[in-house]
Amino acid sequence: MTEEDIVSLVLKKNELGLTIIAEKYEKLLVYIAAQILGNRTRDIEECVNDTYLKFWKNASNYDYTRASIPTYLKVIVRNTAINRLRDLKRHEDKTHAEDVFTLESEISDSTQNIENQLVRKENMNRLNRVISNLPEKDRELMIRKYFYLQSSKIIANAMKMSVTAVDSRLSRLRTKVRNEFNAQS
Amino acid sequence: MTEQMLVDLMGGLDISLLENQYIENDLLQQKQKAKRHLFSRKRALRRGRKFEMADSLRTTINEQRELIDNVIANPMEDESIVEKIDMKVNSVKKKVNKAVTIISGIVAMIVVTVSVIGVLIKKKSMAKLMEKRAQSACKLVNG
Repeated sequence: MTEEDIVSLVLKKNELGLTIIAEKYEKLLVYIAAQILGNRTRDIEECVNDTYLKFWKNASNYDYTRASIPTYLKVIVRNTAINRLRDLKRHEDKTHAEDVFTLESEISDSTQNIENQLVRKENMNRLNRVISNLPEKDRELMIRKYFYLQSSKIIANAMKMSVTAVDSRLSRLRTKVRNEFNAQS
Repeated sequence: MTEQMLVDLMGGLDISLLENQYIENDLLQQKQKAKRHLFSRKRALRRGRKFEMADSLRTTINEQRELIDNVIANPMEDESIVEKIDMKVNSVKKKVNKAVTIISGIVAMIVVTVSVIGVLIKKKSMAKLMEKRAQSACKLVNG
């Protein structure tokens, strides 16, 4: 079954479409959610179910010429997981493994007011420009680290680099992004 | 630009920039690694080259070995008791034999002594009898 067929089923609100999506992409979504939520199994399960629901509800809003179904699902599950983590952190004191902790504990809810939202939107546009201009390897590093919240160890394994090389390269990239932001502002 | 800001902003990254196979490749890599590991273990077992002993089995074998070593170092008391009994029996036997020898010697001496005394008494009584006969013979002759 092609992606178009699946999209067609989902747009017609045929549950078979959702079943096929779950069969094809569940492992992928669980993997992404687990990288962010750690060993919180129940939260991972709920996060993935929420993803299916959100996709089901908003399927007609997505532009399938720009990105495929799995890409939309990845974005939804990533953001859902981070929101869930933020909520959990408000209620529990448990530490999370690896360096994700230092990021997750500081994730702020920046949708507080309109001014912040406008600034955020502007910053997002700037970041998009910066990321799109990066070489492929650097872009992959940034996306793995700051989108998927993968640890340096996992990134190093996947990209066949040492952990030290990953960390130092990321440090340089952060400086580069900061400089680009400052230059553009 | 802090890391937390980056994480936050990346949530709104342009969808076309996220059209990639990074995670799919990770999952594929994991699957291939698992297959390779399984295949190499199967191959090793098929060649009979390597048996990977489980830790639990190794522990059990070591415990059994220690147990056997302890048993050899500290033999069972029953064996020493049997030996002790044998020794005692042998010593008693020896003592009995000695006693028997001694008693036999004593009895023999007594027998000999009694015999000698008997002989002596008989000799004495014969002598008296001979003397009496001689006296009666003399009376007859003189008579």
